[in-house]
Amino acid sequence: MAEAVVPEVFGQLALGHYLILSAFLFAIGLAGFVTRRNMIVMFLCTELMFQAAVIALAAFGRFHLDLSGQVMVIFVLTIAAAEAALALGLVVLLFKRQPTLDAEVWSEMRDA
Amino acid sequence: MIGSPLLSLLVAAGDTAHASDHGHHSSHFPVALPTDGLGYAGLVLALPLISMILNGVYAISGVRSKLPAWTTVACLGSAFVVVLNLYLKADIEHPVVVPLFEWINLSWGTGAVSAPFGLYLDSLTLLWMLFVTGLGTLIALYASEYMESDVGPAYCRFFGGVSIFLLAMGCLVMGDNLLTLYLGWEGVGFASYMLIGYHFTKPSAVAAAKKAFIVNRIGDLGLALGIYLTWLHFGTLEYSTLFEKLQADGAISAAQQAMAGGWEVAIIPFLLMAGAFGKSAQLPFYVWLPDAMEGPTPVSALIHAATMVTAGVYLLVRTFPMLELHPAAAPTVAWVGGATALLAATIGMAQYDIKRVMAYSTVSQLGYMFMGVGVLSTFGAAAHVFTHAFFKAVLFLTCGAIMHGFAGQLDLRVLRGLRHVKGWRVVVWTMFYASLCLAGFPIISSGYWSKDVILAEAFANGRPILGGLGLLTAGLTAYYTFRVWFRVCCGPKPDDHDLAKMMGDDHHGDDHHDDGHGEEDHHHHMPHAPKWAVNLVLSVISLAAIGSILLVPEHGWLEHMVAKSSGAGGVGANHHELPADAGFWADPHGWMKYVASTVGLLGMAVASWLHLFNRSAADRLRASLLASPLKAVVRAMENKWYVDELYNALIRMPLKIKGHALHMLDRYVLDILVVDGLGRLPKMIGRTLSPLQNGVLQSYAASMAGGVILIALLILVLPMLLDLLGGAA
Amino acid sequence: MPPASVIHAFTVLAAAGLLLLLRPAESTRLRLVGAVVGIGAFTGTLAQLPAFFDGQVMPGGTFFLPFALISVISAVQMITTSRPVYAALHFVLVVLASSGLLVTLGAEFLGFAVVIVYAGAILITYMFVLMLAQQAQSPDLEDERPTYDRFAREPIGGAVVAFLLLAFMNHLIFTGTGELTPGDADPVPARLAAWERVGNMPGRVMELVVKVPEYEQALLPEGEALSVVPDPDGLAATVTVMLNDAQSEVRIEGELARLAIEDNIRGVGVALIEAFPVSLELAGVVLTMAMFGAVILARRQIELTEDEKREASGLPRIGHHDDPKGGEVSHG
Repeated sequence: MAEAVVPEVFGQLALGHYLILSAFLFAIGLAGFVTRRNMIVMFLCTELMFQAAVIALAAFGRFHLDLSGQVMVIFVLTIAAAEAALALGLVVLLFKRQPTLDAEVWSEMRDA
Repeated sequence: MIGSPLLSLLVAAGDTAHASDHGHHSSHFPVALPTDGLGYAGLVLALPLISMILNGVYAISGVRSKLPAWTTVACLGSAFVVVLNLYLKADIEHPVVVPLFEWINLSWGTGAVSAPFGLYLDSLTLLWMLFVTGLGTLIALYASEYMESDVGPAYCRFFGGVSIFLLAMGCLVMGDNLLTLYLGWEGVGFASYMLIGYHFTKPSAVAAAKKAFIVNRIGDLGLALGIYLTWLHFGTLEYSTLFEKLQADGAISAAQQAMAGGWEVAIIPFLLMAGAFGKSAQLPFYVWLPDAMEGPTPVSALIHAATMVTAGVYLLVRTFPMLELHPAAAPTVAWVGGATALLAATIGMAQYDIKRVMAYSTVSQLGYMFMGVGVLSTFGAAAHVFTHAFFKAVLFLTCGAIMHGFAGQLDLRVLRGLRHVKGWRVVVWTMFYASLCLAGFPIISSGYWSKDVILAEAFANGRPILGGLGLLTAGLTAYYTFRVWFRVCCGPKPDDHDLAKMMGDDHHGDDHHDDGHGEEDHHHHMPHAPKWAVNLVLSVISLAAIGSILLVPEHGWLEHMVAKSSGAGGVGANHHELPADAGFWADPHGWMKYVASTVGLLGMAVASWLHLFNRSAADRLRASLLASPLKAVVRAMENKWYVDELYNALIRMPLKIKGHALHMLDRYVLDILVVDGLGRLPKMIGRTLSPLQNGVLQSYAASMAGGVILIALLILVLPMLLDLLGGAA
Repeated sequence: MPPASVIHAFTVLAAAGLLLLLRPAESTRLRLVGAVVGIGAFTGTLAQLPAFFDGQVMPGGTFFLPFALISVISAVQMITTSRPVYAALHFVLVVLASSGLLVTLGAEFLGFAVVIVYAGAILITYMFVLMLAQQAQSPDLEDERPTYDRFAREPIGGAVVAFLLLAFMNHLIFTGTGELTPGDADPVPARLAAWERVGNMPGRVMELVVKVPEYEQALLPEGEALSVVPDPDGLAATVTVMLNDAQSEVRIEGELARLAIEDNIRGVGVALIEAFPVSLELAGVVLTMAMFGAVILARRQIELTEDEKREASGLPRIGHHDDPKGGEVSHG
């Protein structure tokens, strides 16, 4: 583990720092998901939210000195990959129907 | 008999109890002792009940003869015989209680209410029941002829109503507790309503019946509250225990009891008198009586002249000891009575419908009776009730005969010269005698004696203004009474043509006339004179009126009857010992005879000048009054001082407006906001929430995030909520 | 705890900053302001922490802030750029920054795994799809960018929702994490647990024994680890090995011991098998299913007639019972 050789800029680094970072990344990802209309960029934002979760999990794992945090990250990675594959497949399929990546053309697919 | 020593003790105590202050002394009268052997007194109630049931049966089975009338007359006659028997058998020196059956008996943890259905027979009861049943029988006989054109179900209904009335009146007068009195009270109110509205196809009759009932109801509220407060304070409703309590501990008077009990006790007499005013048509409740003339004349005679309207007087005489619970109670009664008497007399002077004149006269005479009670002369009031019953019945019955014979013509400007017409002699001369009584003609009329007592007592009680009012009213009474008689019965003899013109247009008895001939034929109808039943009844009642002269004067039979009842406090209350050299004018009982006679004769003289000798003088007088600044007064008198219109504006209009306002509120606010609003609520909720489902992926994501935030807030806030609830619980 | 209003003020500032960046106005000045405000808000929030969190030391020190800033800036750029390819590239930057953070947290395996999976696999796939959708355009044709890329859909709505959530999370972090006790407080149990893990891997033990200077050459042929007994403080251990049919005790200590118990890759592997074997299998199943799904989804949808379907599956055509192929279609 990297020991602090150079004095810290911030005072003591704590769990909270990592969690704040994770929270910000998650929020940015959510904002992006709600704001963008390009389907692919929307899925990229979900991946960003996954990243935030990864950082949080790893931080907690390190905090408790429990490797289970890192194991969960591996699973997150697995799911992210599977989800990316399927999502992109769906995007391709939809693109074949309407030659656009705009998500709002599909707003007819709803109840009533 | 048990209690004779006690009895003599009480009598002795009563004799020494004449105090010297003005009417505020607690009188002692005998308290009831239970007895046996008088159980048949219940027949007095049972007989009208049987008559009522039989009339109902006749109505259902479609009897079309005069059988209902004969049944009713028979039952009522038997009731009169029973009452007579009771009077002769019973010892009137002290009251008896005849229990009939168990009626109301409730008890709970802290209190109890018990009102057994029993009869309280004392001299007052018997006095009342004698003339109620007697007149009831006679008037039923009269009605058998009067109503003969309506034979059929309506005839049965009429006599059923009369029976109900007599049953209820019996309950009222003979009941032994205040609840039975109230039962009878409401019963007579109902019978009155039923009978006033006898011609229920006439809107005016229906309106009059409603008015009577509703105005009575207002008074009944006061009575009910009074009864309740009586029970609350004294703990009992039965007369015997009540009177015991009122005289308890000799030394503590009713007034002192009132002070101990607070305003709830002091208000009892006022509430009771409110009930009496409602039933007996005093200010401000008198408005129903004139309209009640819409009912058939026998009804007016029986109910609204002789019996029901005296129920109020009976109530006050019966509960006379309670009038002492507040020092202002008796004067209030006196002033209300006096004011009513004057007011009604002024209105009666200006009416043209002879039945209306008689109605206002009744109101006025009732005012006298209340004035009597108020100046602490129950004897005077009872005496006037007694005499008035007879002569007013005669007056109404003669008006009825005229109305019946002249097909509804009652206008005294049209009718004239009846005494010259063949077959009307009994009517004319009984009416003359009754008018003499009403006007208070000295010595030979019964009304003179009773009115004299009241007026004298008024002055003796220290109320000269009231006495003066009474005297003025007596003069006015004499005037308007003879105005009627001179106009209707005197004047030039009418020939056939005049008689035909005098006919009214009441389509009496259409069912046995064929009116296919057209209108002109009406003028060919002649008045038909009354037949034997009417004449018989009129004669008998007039004879009874003459006979009452013997019973009524001071220290006579009637005074004795009242003095042995609960109204004893009003006998001789105003008699003081006078110094020997007091002079003639010191004792009103001495000079009132002369003054009252003078006033009465004066009134009769004015009437004779205006209506007998110089018939057109009345019209000229009226015309000149109308031209003068007094025309507003004249108009007001003719329009009954606009009292009805005043009530309409003060009471009916605001209620109507309120009703309309509430209706608007209901229709535009409640219906639209609440009812429709509740209906629209789900729709609005749906419309508000439906944009959430717009099919756009990102908005769903935003909604999900929003949901997460809400749940998170809940989780954050939950401990605080639980604390709050836990702290509150 | 710093007053809630201060934290939420920073959140609002961050939201404002993001809004400024999201607005379709092309003005650079606004974007600059937005960027400054956003970064300031982020660092301000971070600056609130030291006053409160004491004794919860995490490793990272100087390396944390640069990586954090890079990841946040790249994330913001990812969501505000109007070119999808650039968005993907910025995401790669985010991944790299997060990889660095993972390494500072002592999860070296994860650091590399993340880069390999995300940057190496997922983002390449995204690139392919973008190319398929002809989204990669030259920078000259600025005005030909489709509207749905240039304009944010509902910037205010999005920012509000996201930063409400952020506010909630900040609140939780500031109020909740103070109650957590770090594992660092007593490192001994963790070390002992690590030695136990090492003891479950006999091959690994031998590798360690081999590295001990005295035994370097002697154990090349064979040896067998029998047991590993750690010291009470966990900084060293005594290994009982069977070497050339002779039992001897080897002492692993110092740097070697540290390497032994802080071997991240082996640790993760053992933890995976030890604690989450079923999940491991399920993850495999999920991946397989995803693959199948992707293949099915990406198939070309052709409408085949009934005849063509029967032909493709080797069944005779309707009406012809002998010859599955060929022949004239006299009646179809």
